[in-house]
Amino acid sequence: MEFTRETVEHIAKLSKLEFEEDKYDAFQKEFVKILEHFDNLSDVQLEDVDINDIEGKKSVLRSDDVHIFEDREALIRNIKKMRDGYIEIPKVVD
Amino acid sequence: MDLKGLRIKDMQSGLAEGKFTSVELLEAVYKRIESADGEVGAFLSLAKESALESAKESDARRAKGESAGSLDGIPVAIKDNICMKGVTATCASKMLEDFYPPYDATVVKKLKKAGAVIVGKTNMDEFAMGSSTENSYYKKTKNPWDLSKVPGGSSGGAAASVAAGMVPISFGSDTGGSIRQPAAFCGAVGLKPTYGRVSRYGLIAFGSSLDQIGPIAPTVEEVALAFEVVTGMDRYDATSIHSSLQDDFMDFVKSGASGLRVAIPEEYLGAGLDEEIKESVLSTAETLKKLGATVEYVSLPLEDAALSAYYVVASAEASSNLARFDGVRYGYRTEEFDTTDELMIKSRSEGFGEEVKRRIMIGTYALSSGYYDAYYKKAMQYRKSMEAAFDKIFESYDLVLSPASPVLPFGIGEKTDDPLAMYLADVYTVNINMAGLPALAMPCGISKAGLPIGLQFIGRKLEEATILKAAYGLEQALELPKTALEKEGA
Repeated sequence: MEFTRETVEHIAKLSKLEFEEDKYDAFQKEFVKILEHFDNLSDVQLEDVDINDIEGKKSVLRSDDVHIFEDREALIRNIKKMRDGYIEIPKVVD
Repeated sequence: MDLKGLRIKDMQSGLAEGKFTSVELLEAVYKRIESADGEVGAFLSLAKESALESAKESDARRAKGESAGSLDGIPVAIKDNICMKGVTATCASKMLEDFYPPYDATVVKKLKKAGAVIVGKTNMDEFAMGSSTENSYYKKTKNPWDLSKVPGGSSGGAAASVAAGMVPISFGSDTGGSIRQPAAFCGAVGLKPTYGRVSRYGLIAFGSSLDQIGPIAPTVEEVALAFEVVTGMDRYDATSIHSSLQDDFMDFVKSGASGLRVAIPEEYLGAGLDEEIKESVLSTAETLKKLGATVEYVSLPLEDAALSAYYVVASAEASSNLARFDGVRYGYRTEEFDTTDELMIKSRSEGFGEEVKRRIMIGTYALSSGYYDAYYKKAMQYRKSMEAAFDKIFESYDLVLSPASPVLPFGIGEKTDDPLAMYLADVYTVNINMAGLPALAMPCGISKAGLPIGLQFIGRKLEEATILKAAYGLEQALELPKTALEKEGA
């Protein structure tokens, strides 16, 4: 498929990113180059490789026990806004 | 006191014999940083208060005849994507400018327990994405061997802090070569352990299936010592391996390269490799033979597809990992917005730098509907086949020897306009992360222009000791300068 400016705009939307107008065209040119390089993956014979085969590996589960995180102050330090002991966050429901 | 040429064992004996205290050693480190870091730019922040506290505690222990462990009183630095409580962890991004981790990474916890004094956080490519440390939002780090050259990346600050003789150990992280390539560029020794050998708890994620923390130091012995302290199973990292080091680890490392079977993949010496690096690696192979190792040439295809597979997997994981930076929970938040969507889009677009956005875009594309099979699945299949190719070689050999980078340290600004060219320079290192293997970079020569040349030893999973053993033997035989301070004419 052709990698167009519209594709760049679509991917930016999915990535929750936006760019200056001229950057979309620059990205498009850059991406075509990078994706052309990625196409060499199709030249390798890989059909027989099963990525879900986990022979020889063992999954280890730890016991699910509770550990209390004591340092409340350290957690709160990264919060942008506090009001009356509550965390103030931006309005996220329109 | 003068830090030049002072190895960890000299620091340990100096402290034990009362020649200097840990506080004095720390003061010497800060003095060195103060005089050299204006030019080099290795550090993003210093943890002076907590470091002084640790040094005092170390001195108090020594006065009572006690010791916390093998690094008691020894100054170390950590990369700014490793969390340490109370000190910012910016990942060299505007996004995390004011992020104070509420806990210590397991590596930091282990270092503190062994008595190490953590002096500060080193510069890096933003979110560890890059090969030159030019992608840092804050500053450019310069190569202490030649200030017009890059130190490599993404752990460029870590490698430069060691090469400039500021600290004897610096911890970095390696997702596709980010410890080994800067170590090679700065003439230092850098170890990327087996995936799962060092806990990733507290390492801000880039590509979770590839990331691994490891040490950079002037010598193999110091790297081994640092690795011994931080390795081990950790309940906070689900990918941590249940396995411990052999009891005689250090003695084994120092037991010489004799008897080791080393393979050099012919394809790794082909087109694209700098002639001086090739010559240096070949002459090192001869040195290894003189030390009693067998060196043979093998075939291990080095395909362009390997780089593609790596960049697909790494970018896909990065795009998922970095989705957490949404302007709501933590990190940078934009000033003005009307809708939730706008809050996220503006926060992310203003907070992330260009390379990070590029990788998020590539990763999002590779994972998007209709392209998953063509890119991500193919890349994962490639990854598996590569693991098998390495396994096959390790049936007959103990180690694989290759260059660490196809190019010598390049000029600052020389490659920033061409991301693809920058990606292609990772050709010898990315495979190792994809296969989850341990590997070490170390100096093997000095170029005509006076720049360090690095090689790479790759080993079987969990066999860091074998790699270090070969590296130690070689290092003794080569007798190269250990830091830029010790280079000719310095």
